Amino acid sequence: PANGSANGAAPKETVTPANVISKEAIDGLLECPDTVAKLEQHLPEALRGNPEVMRSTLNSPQFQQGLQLFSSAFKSGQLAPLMKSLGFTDSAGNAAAGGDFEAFVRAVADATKE
Amino acid sequence: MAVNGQWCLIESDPGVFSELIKEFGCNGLQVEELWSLDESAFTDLKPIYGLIFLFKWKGDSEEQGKVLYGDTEVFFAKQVINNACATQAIISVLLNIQNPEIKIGDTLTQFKEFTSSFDPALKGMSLTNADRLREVHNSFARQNMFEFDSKIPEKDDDVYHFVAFVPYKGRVYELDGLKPGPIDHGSYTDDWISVVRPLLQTRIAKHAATEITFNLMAVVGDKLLDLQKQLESVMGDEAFVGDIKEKIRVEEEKRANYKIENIRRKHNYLPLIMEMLKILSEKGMLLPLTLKAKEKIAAKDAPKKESSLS
Repeated sequence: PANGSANGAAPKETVTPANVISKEAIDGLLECPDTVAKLEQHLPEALRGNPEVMRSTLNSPQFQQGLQLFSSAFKSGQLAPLMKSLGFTDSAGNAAAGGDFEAFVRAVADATKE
Repeated sequence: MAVNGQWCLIESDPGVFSELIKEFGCNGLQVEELWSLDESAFTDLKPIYGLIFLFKWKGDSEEQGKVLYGDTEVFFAKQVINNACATQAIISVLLNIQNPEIKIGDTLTQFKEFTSSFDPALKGMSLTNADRLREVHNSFARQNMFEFDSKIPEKDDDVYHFVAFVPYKGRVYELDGLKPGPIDHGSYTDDWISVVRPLLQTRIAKHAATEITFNLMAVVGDKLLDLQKQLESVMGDEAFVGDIKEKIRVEEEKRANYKIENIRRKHNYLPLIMEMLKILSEKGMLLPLTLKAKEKIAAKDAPKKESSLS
């Protein structure tokens, strides 16, 4: 697939974490207070404790930039060790090593089915 | 985050620059973005101590004004590295401010004295090696989640170039670190903006023709201090008090937003995003959302294919 653009066509766009963590996904996450509490722990103190600040942070250009950065890093395959260390399975980790987010998600879904 | 001795790329934003110069130790100044070259846009911001003009650099040379060689009284440093050029343009403005009421702080004052006898190349080298200035600059670097992300090409990796315009003892100078010296744009009597405004209009017209992006920042007096002084001077006159208080409220709100934005800017979102993925996976939402995103991309691609067939 690396030389798929040899005929001049743009390389095919694949799903990235930035596509998946969409506004809709974020809205869904913010509906659940338990989830909000979990997510808040990963924000700087100054941005905690206020649902509106949380919402605007997740919709901010700065967070979007972080998502884009994460997506690029995922694509490069170099996040795989991190994914494994966070408890995702080996097969999910292997998918992550290939940089294919969809394959990673499918591997994660398969593992939870078992 | 920052590799030793390196200057990171920072975002060109009035909130970033305003906080940056405060942390350099400056008092009584802030940075504002200009959205128009109309006279009124400048009037609202006065006093203006300097302008910073950013544009996508294509390696071509401007042929306006007269380049001064050798020792100049106006502070001018050659640009040694790319990533620092916004900060360098701002520092060039700060070091040329003649108003004794403006305090640029110990760090910059010492730097100015230390380099006063240096030529522009050595001034540029000294700036590059100024640890405290670099430290503050790098604290505004956009988040680097991972060691390796510097290897990933960014779409905004285009080379941007910053030049500063300053009034200095009755003349207008352009400070472009890629030039051998400051550029003299002639004298002004009361208002230096009357010299620089037509200059910028010509330049932007030229850039707009070749679709070059640009923006314009102004180093201006501290608005809040100014408004508080105004409030004191009109004390009792209700017609003005309400108006000034409203302006103070707007300015304070703007600063509170800058603060939040800068906190967001400096934060590393990696753990948060990992947590989001975990939670979405636990809730069984990750796969459906991924498939939905995939559909969206496919739908976006589809019309393109049709048009390429016709």
